[in-house]
Amino acid sequence: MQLKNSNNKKAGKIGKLITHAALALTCGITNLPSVKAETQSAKSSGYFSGIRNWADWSGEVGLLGYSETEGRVQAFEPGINLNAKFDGDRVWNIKLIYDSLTGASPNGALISGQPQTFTSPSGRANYTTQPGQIPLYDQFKDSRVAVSSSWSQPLTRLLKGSAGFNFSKEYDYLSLGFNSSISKESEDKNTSYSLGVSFTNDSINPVGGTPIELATMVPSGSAQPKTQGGETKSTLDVLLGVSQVINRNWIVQGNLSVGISNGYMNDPYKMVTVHDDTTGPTLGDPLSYIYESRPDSRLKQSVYLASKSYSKYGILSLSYRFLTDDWGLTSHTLESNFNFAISSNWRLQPGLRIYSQSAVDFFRYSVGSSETTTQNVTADTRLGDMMSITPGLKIIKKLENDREVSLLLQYYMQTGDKSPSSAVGSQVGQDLFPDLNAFIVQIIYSF
Amino acid sequence: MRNSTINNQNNFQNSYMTNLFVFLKFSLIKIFTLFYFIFVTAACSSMGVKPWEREVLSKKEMTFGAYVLEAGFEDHTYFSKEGSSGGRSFSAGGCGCN
Amino acid sequence: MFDPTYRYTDFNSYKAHAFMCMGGLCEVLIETSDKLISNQIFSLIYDEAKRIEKKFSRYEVNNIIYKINNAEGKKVHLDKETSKLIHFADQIYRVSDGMFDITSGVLRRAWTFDQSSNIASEETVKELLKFIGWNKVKLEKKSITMPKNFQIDLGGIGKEYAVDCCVQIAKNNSAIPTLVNFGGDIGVTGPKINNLPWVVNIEGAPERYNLFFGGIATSGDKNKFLIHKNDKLSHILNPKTGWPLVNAPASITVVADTCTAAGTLSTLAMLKTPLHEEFLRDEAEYYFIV
Repeated sequence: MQLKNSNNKKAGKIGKLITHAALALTCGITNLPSVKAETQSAKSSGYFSGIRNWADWSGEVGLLGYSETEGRVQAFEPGINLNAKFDGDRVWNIKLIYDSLTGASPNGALISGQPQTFTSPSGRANYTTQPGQIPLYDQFKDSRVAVSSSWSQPLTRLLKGSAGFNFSKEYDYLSLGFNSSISKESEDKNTSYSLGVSFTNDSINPVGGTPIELATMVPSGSAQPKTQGGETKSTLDVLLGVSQVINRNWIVQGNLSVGISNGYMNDPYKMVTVHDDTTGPTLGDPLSYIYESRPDSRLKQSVYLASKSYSKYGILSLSYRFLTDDWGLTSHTLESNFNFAISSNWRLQPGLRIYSQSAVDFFRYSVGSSETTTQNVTADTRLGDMMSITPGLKIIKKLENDREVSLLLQYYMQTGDKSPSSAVGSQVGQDLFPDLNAFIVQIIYSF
Repeated sequence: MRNSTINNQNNFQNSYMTNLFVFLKFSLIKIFTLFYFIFVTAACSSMGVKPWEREVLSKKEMTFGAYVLEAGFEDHTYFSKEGSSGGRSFSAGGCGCN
Repeated sequence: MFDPTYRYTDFNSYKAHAFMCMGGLCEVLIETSDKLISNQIFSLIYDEAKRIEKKFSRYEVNNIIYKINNAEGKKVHLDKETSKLIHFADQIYRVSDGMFDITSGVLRRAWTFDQSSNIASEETVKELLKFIGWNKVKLEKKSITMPKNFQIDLGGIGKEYAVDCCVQIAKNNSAIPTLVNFGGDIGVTGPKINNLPWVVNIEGAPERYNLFFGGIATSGDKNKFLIHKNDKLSHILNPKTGWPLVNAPASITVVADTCTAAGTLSTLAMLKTPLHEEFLRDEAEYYFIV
């Protein structure tokens, strides 16, 4: 039997509020101090109250801002995620994201000490890159709309099922997919298993037509080595997951995923530099450019492990993903964050993501002019040996009724081998894998 | 950094035989991990909590998949700058990114 | 007095009146040697206590609580007093992040706290949870609309409110120091004569408390609990999960400016188990935990 007492004469915010409100009950004071938030229980009447009362609504509204340093790509993405819960366990979900991209992206050609001229994807114009600058092509008006929706409901006492679709459209790309999953809980609800399948079909219609793989870039004005008519790609993904409660303060999850893609896998706007490989003063200089070529199928497999644990100091989240595919790429992703309270309504969550990737088998910085290129080759640094580090800080303000508003600030830093041993002649000394750094901001309101 | 040349066995990469081999080799690791997980969860019946011990687990921050929009934004950002995708859950839809 | 439970003791310098009301023993101590005045004050307090009991009891037929609980989804008009009480409960709901919920009373159909290990079935609890949730109730300034099968229960704040009302009535009608003790929920009009405190025995505390102003309330009941494995399940239920608090303190006593405030703070503290101490340190001026 423990006894504690306090001589704390100053009541806190809640104490004062309750004291004042209780006084008002019996003394007839009419101005009650109101809590600074809308009254959840006092709903307005009319049309909107009809919708609000029809289901239990929850969700998030947010905005992503992404800006690469050195003025490369900038993106602005508002999005909304809505859940309508019926009778507690049937849920309809809809998610809408609008993606607006501006700026310029690398076209795959290698940085050179000479100025370089490229044909724009439309084939109707040229653009020049200065010496020592990374060759970039304009994103033009790249906006994308993505919609996804699903319905989930219990099938039996312990079994739950869901089905949904996703759709996205940008001016040169259309994607439509269906997914379905089933999940089962153990009797004591401490373990849950899930199996999901998703099938997606994409149609690509590159601006200016689809470049013929490995064809040499032709200056604007002349007939372009491109075919009209568009391309398609289809993907089948399967995900198997288990989640387990270890104790009151600790829960873990593990997923196995397999994905198979078939069809057009190239980036139609990317090229590979063909460099002069004759010994002499011109060794390493860019001679021409060929359009990249990737295999027409890809098999990806990954293992994902995650853990969330609570202590009186805060909540620690950790996750690790190991991914490998038949293009030769292997990657490791380690994410961690720690969420803790700094006052009764404010929380902070510092976080760190570390990513490392080994290149696909057909990645080349550039190919030599005397090589016979009949195989797959890409100079897209996104498929090269690289690593990225993303530190971040999230500031969260908790509001009443489980609502919260948060601001997330991150800095993305990607680096790769700037002086690979494959560099020859004039390539040596150039920064052949320029750093990619970007500021990321996310503002999200959840209710 | 590997110094690969074009003249290696790339032309077998796309054949079904190699695909199957890679799939099977990695399958062993996968199957092992899956069975390890199932074994651990089934064998340790002392793991888990009673219904009244779920106050902490019911917090949003202790739930996997609670922050949907944030996860979607992040997946999309990383997917467009790196060679990997997915693993956590299903990504909603494709784009011409990688 | 035609009440068979009424007991009267004359201690010369003060008078003690006792009667059964609101499910427990109610005592009124009036510091005067004048029997007539003491009876007059007591009579007003007695009528007020009985009035509140009848008006807000969930066992009465056709009082406002009965009308609200049997409205079958229709809007019910509220008088000023009921409206103020329910709006107070609404504020406490918001301040406690939904833990203090007057619609959670239906859970008593699932739970019997008889010190055994008969815990409720998950199915029953899950079914009952469908009829709980203050956020589903439409509360306006002068009316309330509850979904069908929802029930409200003002038992959590009713007794403390009665104490405060009785103290107010005593204050309004005389300057004589009066203490009201309804089943352990205490309120005073002010200090005793010569500014001496009312000396209160808090059950479980080693030292007595000197009460000059305000009220005292205790939440918790050392006789009502369940045992499951090594856990003691308190009789206070979490309205979000339907399950009891585990290993909560046997009782929390709070002293505050009014009995209602004291009761609310002690209930909120209980609901914050195991972080009740931090809460009390921050919010209450004086408290005891057992």
